[in-house]
Amino acid sequence: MSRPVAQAPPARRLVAGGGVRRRKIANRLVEGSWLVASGGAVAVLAVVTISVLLKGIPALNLDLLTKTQEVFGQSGGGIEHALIGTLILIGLATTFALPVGVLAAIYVSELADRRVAHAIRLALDVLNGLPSIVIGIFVFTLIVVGRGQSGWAGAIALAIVMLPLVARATQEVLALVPKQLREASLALGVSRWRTIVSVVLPTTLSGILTGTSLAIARAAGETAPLLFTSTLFATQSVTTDPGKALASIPVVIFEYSEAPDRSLNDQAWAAAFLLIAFVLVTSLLSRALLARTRRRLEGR
Amino acid sequence: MRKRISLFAAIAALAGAAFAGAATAKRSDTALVGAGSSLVAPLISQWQQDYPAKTGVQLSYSPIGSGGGIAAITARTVDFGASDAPLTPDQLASCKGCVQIPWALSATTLSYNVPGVPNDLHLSGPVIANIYLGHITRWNDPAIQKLNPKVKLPDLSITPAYRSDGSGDTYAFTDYLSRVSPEWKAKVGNSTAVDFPTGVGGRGNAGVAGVVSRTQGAIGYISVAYTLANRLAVAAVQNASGHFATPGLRGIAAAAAAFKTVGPNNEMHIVNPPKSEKLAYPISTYTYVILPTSSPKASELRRFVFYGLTQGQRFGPKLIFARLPLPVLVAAERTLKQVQAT
Repeated sequence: MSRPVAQAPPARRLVAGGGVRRRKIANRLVEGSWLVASGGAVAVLAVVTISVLLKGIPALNLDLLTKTQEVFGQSGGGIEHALIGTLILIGLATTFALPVGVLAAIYVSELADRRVAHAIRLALDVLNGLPSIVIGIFVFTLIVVGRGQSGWAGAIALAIVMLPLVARATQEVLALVPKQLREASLALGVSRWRTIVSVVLPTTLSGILTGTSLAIARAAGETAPLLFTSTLFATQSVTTDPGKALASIPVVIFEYSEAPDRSLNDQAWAAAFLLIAFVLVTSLLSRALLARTRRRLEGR
Repeated sequence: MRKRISLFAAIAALAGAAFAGAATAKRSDTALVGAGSSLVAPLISQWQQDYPAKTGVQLSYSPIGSGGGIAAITARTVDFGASDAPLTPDQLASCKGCVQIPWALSATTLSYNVPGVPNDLHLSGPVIANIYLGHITRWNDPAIQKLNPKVKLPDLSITPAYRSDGSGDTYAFTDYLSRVSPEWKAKVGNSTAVDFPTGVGGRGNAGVAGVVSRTQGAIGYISVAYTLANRLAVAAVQNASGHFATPGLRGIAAAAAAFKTVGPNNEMHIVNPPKSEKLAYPISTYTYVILPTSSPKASELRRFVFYGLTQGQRFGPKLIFARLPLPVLVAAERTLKQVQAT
């Protein structure tokens, strides 16, 4: 047969049947509602950020950063005591949480057998989800009762908040390290712990830094644990001794925002702005670092 | 390689030292930590500047409310507690060897934010009780207008503000209302934290002052120092003699003068004084410092409280704290001797 097999079908326009218009409208409606929902989420962030910017930036001045709270009844003053207190608390919390988190992550990723690793990972996830006020009560009952509030107690509470974040970030970066790297090192006769310390860890350092900066950003804003363990109201001097209670930015925001004095309300907004700026900067920094780590590890 | 080991060793040592330091952390001996009443906080704020300059001992005070102060000293998380409300027998028992010492004398005002209404609005105990019970809901209610024939009261709804934390001001206020309104005594009662039938809560004197200053038509019970600092309008409350008394130094001193003997355990109620004192402001209150009878910082505490009872009182008049009457001063100093080193 020499007739071509494929013949053009009879000329008839293909028209979709059955309520195309209705389906198109329904389609647009549903897709539009998804757009509105995600727009709502972004809008919430925009509203929060913009209102903090609008109210916080005008209240920023040099007094804010260099003076402490005024005596009762007088306006003005600053939040220097809170800034320094937060720095000390975060610094101490990082020195507690960083080693424990990294070592725990190394154990889970490299050394533990499957069931133990699973259990530890579960415990870390539960710790991550633990309400921070529960952590505050725990540290309060353990350390503060009978002894009084102190910067140490506050730092320990914040370290417990930071620990799961550091551990999880370290785990994820350790998982990214290619197996060949470890195998090559072991094949050369390097002992396991030296492999981990000298070969695996250095490649993950920026990832660990990422996790740490995220944890710091989270801990900087935690109010509930500090309410129990380290609050300092109405202070006219800057305390740097962690043996005593230290002021901190979230608690100062809490205290000042309800104050009847308008200048204190403004200071609360300015402190909120500083906190958001700090969180934003550390988040962006950690994202940049993480991208760099990924590029380096995948480029190998 | 050695550098890495020493780096890890250094980190581990630092963490270890930090934990050890935390475990054995004690409060430094050159600081006294206190918490409690926000009524006395303005006075303590003055002492915080003066006392360290004289003695080198730092003072740290958290105005978390009288209820919080009692809880803190019971748990011994602070060196001294401050409360306007005297300890109940239960609280005294769970505090395990605490004494209360009256160290300042002030008043709880009724402050309001009503546009067009000047200072010194006349209010009486039953009217205040009815406002807080929710029976009087608008400012131009006939009951209020009757007490203030010359004032033009707007048709604005009343928002009563109260303390949401355990508060000595609440104690003094409800003590007063329980004595002037049987309905209040039956329905709500007298305590540092009661179930207010209506109104808006604020945290601390500062919180209630904030609610009143930001809400038109609000009325709240606030310590007089905070009322002055925030320039709120203050009501003149009718006392037992019929006079409308203002919460100034004279009114407070008159209220205290009506009660010449110090109660057992230094507990004193000077609200709703008898009509012998014509100028007495009926919602005045003593405020107490609560100390453990045995404390490692006993001598520091005795020196501090003695300072508060004597030299510290000179900061009082500007903040509307009246001078302590002599019998009270004597009783206070006698009780102070009971605080001994552990």
